Amino acid sequence: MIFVEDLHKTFGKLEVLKGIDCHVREQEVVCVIGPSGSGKSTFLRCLNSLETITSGTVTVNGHRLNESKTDIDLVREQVGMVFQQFNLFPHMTVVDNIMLAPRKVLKVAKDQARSNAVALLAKVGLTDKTDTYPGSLSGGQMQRVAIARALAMDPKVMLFDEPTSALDPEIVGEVLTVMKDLARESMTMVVVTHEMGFAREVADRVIFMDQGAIVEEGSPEQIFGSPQHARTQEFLGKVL
Amino acid sequence: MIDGFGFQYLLPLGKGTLWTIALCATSGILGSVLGLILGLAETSPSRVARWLSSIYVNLIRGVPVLIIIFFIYFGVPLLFPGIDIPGFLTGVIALTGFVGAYMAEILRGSIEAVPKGQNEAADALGMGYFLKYRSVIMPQAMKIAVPPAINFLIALVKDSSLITVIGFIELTKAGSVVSNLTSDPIATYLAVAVIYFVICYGISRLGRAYETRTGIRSDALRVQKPLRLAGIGKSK
Repeated sequence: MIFVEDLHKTFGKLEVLKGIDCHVREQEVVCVIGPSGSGKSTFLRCLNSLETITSGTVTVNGHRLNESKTDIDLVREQVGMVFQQFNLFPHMTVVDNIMLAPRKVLKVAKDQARSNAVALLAKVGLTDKTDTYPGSLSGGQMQRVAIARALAMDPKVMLFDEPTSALDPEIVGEVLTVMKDLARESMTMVVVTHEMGFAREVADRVIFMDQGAIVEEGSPEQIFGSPQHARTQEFLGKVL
Repeated sequence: MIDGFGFQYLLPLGKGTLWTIALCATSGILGSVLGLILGLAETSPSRVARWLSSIYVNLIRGVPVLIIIFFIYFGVPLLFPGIDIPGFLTGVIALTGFVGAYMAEILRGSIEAVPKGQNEAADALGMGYFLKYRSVIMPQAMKIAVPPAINFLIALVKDSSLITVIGFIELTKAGSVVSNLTSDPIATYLAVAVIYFVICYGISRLGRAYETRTGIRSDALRVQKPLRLAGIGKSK
């Protein structure tokens, strides 16, 4: 599904990613953990070209991202993304947020797009918020709408960039529940997160990143139970 | 024939007012369209478009409107014999070019004020440049642009009086003609000032009404409220 080979990313002189190799299989849930500034968000953003790739290759669903003949918008249609700051469109109602891209990009008929959107809102437990504006929602509700918006494109893979980091602790759970449901439905997911409980419970594989490189990866049992590297041990010792 | 300022002179002032309104409306609309194109060019991914629009904007902003008017009215016929641009058209061209440059900057600032996350969310949905700007960026940027654009249009009404230098009879020029006829500059220019004020205040009210309707102002109030409450809390 996603192949990453020797991915390098530099901002000016700062090298943020120092050669990442990674493979995400279909229906796999991969959680990326690591300290702030380890490059995990940048890595995730390279997977749908929100960051340009300095060198190396990223192949998503058979499309090489950093090739001029690749239509990046076509790739992005198949890659859903959920942001830390939700990024809902504030000038549109909840249902319009969800319908916009299916209607205008995929050319789905209005009625069809709306019934899809309503069904997705039911799935994330927000049926009663269909015609309200994002401004009147809580953070947890906004993030669930954002997930529904990404799902409305019927993506092959979902990227989550610290989806619960901007939320109050007591509403983190409602977003994680939606994500767990998705994982159970065999969605391919790459999740950058600080929620170790979620990673341990849901992930098929956990990747620990530090200073722009993958230090260690393995099953949740391996990473959380018996981490091999000193850096992983130190990090987990601090956060668990 | 000299007598005081009287009602009979309101007719020429009224005519001048109509010309001023026509001049400002035409150049305001055309200039806003030009500004929209330039503003989009200034924020576009194309380096050439950014470069060309910023040259234009900086050039126009660096030259007094008066010089632009002189150039079009006196310069163009000298450079291209046979082409004679009448007064009204001179005013429209000069002011359109002027409005375009400033509107472009207002719009550029407004587009850049839309949070980066909005761009990224649209990009991540595969929306592409055109759809992203039409559905996500511009509706938000326009709201941000309205108050400074209204402010600029009010300034335009007053700047349009510069067109008097080539003898075109708009409101200010009509005022000076009437003033000469009546030898009553105080009453005449007072009348002219009142008319300008009414036009400008009208635009200002229209802008307010638009802001209230689209919720720009109520947003501002919502932000202020907690601050005010916090202040009350502290004094207790």
